Amino acid sequence: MGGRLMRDNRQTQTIMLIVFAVVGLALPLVARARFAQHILIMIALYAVLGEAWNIMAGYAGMVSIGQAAFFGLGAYVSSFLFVEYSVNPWIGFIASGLVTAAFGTLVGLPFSRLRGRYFAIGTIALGQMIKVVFENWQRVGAATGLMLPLVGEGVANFQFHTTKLPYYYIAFAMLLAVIAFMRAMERSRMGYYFKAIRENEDVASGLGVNKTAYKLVAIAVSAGITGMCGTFLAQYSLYVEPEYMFNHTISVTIALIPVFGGAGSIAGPILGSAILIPISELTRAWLGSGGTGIDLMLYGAFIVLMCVYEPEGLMGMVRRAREKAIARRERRGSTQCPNL
Amino acid sequence: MILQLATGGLLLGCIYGLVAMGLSLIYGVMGIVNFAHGAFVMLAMYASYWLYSLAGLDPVIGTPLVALLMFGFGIVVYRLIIGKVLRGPFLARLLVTFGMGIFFVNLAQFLWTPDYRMVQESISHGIIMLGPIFIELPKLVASIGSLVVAGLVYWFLRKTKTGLAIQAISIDRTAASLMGINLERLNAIAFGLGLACAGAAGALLASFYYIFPDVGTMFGLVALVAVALGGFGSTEGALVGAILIGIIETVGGFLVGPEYKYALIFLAYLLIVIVRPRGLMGWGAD
Repeated sequence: MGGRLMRDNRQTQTIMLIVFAVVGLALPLVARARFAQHILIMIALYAVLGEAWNIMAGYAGMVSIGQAAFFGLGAYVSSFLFVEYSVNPWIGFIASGLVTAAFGTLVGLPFSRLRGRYFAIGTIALGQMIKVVFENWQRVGAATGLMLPLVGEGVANFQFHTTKLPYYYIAFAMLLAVIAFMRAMERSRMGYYFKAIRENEDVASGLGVNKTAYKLVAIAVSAGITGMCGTFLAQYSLYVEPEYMFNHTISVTIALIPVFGGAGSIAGPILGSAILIPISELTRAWLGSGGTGIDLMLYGAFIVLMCVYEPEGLMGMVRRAREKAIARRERRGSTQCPNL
Repeated sequence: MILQLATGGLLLGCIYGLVAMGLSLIYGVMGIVNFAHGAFVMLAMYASYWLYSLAGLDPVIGTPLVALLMFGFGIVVYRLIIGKVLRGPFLARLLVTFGMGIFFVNLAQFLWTPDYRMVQESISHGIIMLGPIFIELPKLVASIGSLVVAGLVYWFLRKTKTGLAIQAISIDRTAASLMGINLERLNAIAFGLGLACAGAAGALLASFYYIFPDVGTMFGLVALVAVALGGFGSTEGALVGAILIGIIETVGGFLVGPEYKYALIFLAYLLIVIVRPRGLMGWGAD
């Protein structure tokens, strides 16, 4: 019975995923305005970033509020390679994934000793420190950053000037790849180890889980994906500067999206991104970006309301609705055959 | 020269200490890391500024009033928001104050624009000489004021019935509640008190510091690092951590370069926490 239920569940998930992929691919063909496509790109990008955060925090329980460290580093790796050595951005894309993953492992080593809020504050510290380093590092342009030279547009060069559509499809492909990875992870031993560490790392380690190794894997994967997203944004905006790429707001947004949607589930960050990013982009566009701060004000209010009234995130609401539906179905079933 | 810098660091550390003390108090009593603490310092600085420019009240003299205002504000925030998430999941408890911080900083930006403001002609100004050391009077006044307020809070926690009850909660919540302590009421008072600390610090800072919406963010982060350095749950630790940070900031900033001063503070945090994962004097749950 339980087996069938799980199979049913996976089947529904697969169907939902296919529907999601089809809708996702078709969406920019309907929403053709440049601004609408920009919003779609940002939704996809932040969904990927949210999933990457989710691996670390939602599954393995290490709450990071410094993801911009990895994000900015990734952006700088590919941009620096491109500007200085004309390395193709796609190679830079891979390189930034590898470099940030290596960097994540390196800082993860001491960080894996920290727990709960000490870890979270440590990630804030990391994010602030790396920003200061890049602001003062002449070789990478210090506070002014780097401008990426314009080259012929096309997939091969990872640059598009006349249309935003290819950017969207790249971001969406990244999202699908991350979803596929997370589905595999959820079923794998690794996924269960992550959850065991999240629930109680002492017990997990007592049961034979090498907690340091698995924490490092979670950080490395999360950092690598986040770094590649950094490359994406660098190619999208064609410039990198510390204030933009290492911004603390990026770290906060990355953490908020999955929490808002529902941390520890695959759908959570996607839902969160699909709701929060348009709110933020639209308020900014409507109310003017002239530093009025009203877009971020709404953002903050949203987070507070969410934590107070829906602390499990949107996925918590979905789950409750589903449980209610199942309970109703069971009630109906039991009246039909009261002997069972 | 080093002595001069260390003195500056000590003075700065005392102000950080008051901010950190409020943070530590809130954490100790209800397990909330108040990421919005810096935003409350900022609000207090604006309150002080408006009291000065609209009513002509000097920031230093207005300190008790601003602290009182922030105390009341803290009770309201507790009743509306904090009290409701206390039984929620870890992530909600961690991020709710983040949301509050973002909200208040941008509210300030919306209401008062990102312009820098400053209180001109505060009653405390000038420089005094103490042997070979220059001391800026406003900083001296602010740090002494901070120590006085910190002392008052300390006295309140150690000597009054309410204070003892607050301490009892931070030692063992369940036992305290079984002894007939009204958790809700005292949580609210502790939160108000934490904000009053931030408020007093903000008012004292307003006498010599630029005032802008993002001003509190660094104070909040530094106080957070101070509390974590000292160890969450230890009020004395917070003060020690804050003074340490003040000295690292000024001396380190001079030796390595002022642009790196905050990086140094964070580096110090990382090094200390990696060696002692619960800070210098910390205890309790993670």
